[in-house]
Amino acid sequence: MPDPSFEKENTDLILTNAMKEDMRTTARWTMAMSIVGLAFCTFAAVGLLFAFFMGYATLRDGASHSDSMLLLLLILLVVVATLFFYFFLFLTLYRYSHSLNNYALHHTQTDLDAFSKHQKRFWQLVGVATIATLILNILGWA
Amino acid sequence: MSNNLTQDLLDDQQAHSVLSPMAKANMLVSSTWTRFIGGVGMAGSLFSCFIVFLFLSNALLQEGAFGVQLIWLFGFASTFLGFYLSIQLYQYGANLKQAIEKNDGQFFALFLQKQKRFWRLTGLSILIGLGLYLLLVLGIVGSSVATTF
Repeated sequence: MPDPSFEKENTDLILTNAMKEDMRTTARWTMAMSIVGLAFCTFAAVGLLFAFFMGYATLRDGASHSDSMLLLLLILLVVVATLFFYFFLFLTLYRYSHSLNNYALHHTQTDLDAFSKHQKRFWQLVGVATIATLILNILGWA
Repeated sequence: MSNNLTQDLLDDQQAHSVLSPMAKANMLVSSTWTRFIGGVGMAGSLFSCFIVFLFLSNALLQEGAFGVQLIWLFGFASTFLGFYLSIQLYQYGANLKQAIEKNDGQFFALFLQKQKRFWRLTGLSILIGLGLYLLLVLGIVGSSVATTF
């Protein structure tokens, strides 16, 4: 049974060297992944821009294809929204990593609060992505 | 004497911190989401594992289709890794919940260990995946260049 007062009281934490090392290792890995993710999103955005202009030029040169143009815009909108979402997700991971590293180094209350906040935001975003993937899968199977 | 000295040095290197109610509330939300994502991941990857295993066993029965067998084997390994990662994520959330509810710093150390294990495994998987992808792209480009010239 959980202690009923756990939500209202401060809990003293003693950070050992092993705990600090665990946090620093986590921060290194999350930092690396966030940078890879942000770079991937940037490359994908440049590729998307290129693909859009190529598609636009092809459609403009041909006969009137208003339906195709609309479809192209719709696809572009969905892809841009997805890219924005992932960019924000990796940015949150970067902040999570940064605040965890700060907490491992300075052990201040502000750093711990910032770490818990960014961790919550990151997992909320991943949770939303999971729910969206689930819905798309169910729609795909149906 | 020597042990006491070592203990004193270790104590000097320890740091005190306070887990505030706000941090606890945030961590409980994180714990709920990670357990949810881990659960969904476990179910999804187990299902994928089963489907890929069916294709793999079918491919293994065919003689001479080494490339196809290799692709399905790689697919099976990926889905199994996904399953293992989902278990780790679920345990990450469970440990975090325990650390907050037990109101004890000792459990926080356990959570930090799980967190490190999960992120290190995820990072390594992504690095290996990126490496394999790069090899595949280089292989395709190399073979197309060899065909052209």
